[in-house]
Amino acid sequence: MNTLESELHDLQGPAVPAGLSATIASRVAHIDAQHQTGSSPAGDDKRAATGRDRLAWPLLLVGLSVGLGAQIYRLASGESTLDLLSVRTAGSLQRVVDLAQPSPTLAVLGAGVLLALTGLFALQRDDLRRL
Amino acid sequence: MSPAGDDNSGGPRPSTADGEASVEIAAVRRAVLAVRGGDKESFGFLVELYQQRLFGLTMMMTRHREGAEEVTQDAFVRAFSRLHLYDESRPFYPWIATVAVRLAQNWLSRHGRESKRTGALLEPDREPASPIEPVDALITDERGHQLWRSVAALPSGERTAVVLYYRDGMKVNDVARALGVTSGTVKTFLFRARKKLRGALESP
Repeated sequence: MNTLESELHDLQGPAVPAGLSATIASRVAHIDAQHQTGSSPAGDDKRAATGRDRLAWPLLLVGLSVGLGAQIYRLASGESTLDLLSVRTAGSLQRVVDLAQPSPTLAVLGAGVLLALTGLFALQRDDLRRL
Repeated sequence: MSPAGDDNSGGPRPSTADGEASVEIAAVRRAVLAVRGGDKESFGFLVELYQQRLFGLTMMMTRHREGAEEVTQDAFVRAFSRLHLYDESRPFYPWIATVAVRLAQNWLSRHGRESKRTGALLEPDREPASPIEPVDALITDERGHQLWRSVAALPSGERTAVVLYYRDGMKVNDVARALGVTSGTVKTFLFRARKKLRGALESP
């Protein structure tokens, strides 16, 4: 072994900061305590996220069901007709005005859409948080 | 490959085997088993044994005292959390050094982005530090200071390879695993480092 390699082998480093081992011991004890109680910040976040998932999916499904149900009811009761072509070709503005008239079914439809959107955005928010 | 692993770095091997003497290996194994068995106090033995070496390594990598302290702490905490992943038939130091190197690389990457954004210098002591810096407190002679500063002035991969291979006595394969590069790259790092260090130390 030549001189340089011998010197590198004995390379002296900087002094360890005072209290480093105590800080590590404290952090390790904290982790150990979390393991003992079975909780951790990451675990809490995961559980909260799972809870939100459980809430978001029913909200989304209920919202879609209510929205679609209300629309089907409007079609079935003759309150509305399925005429997609006419919306594009003629009288489209009038149809929008008619649709916007206050009615119980419109309120149900609105509530359904709101629920569906709430559920959808709750899911997206959770997905973004996990990234 | 030889039973001892690929160790042809172009330079002689340090005298320690994997940076750990046999007595140390036995003591470390006992401590690891004790920690796994629920005796968390035994982890303190591992901290006391390796904190100096690990802090020197992270200090050399980050060239930032607070950063090195943070990374050293995180390395021990992560080692504690993942002690079940450690294979006690292998030396402990290369395992924890790998953890520390990865954390230091993350630290450098994170702070590199921050310093770019803020315009602050990431490595204020890239240039040779003053001999009276607290960082050098343990280095007792001028030659030691000069050597430390010369190694610290090397590019990141080279200075880390020098510390792990020469000072810590790790095998080339283990150094390569720690750095996330091939053994050939480690040998190149060591070759270039020796060349630069000879030039730096021999110049007046």
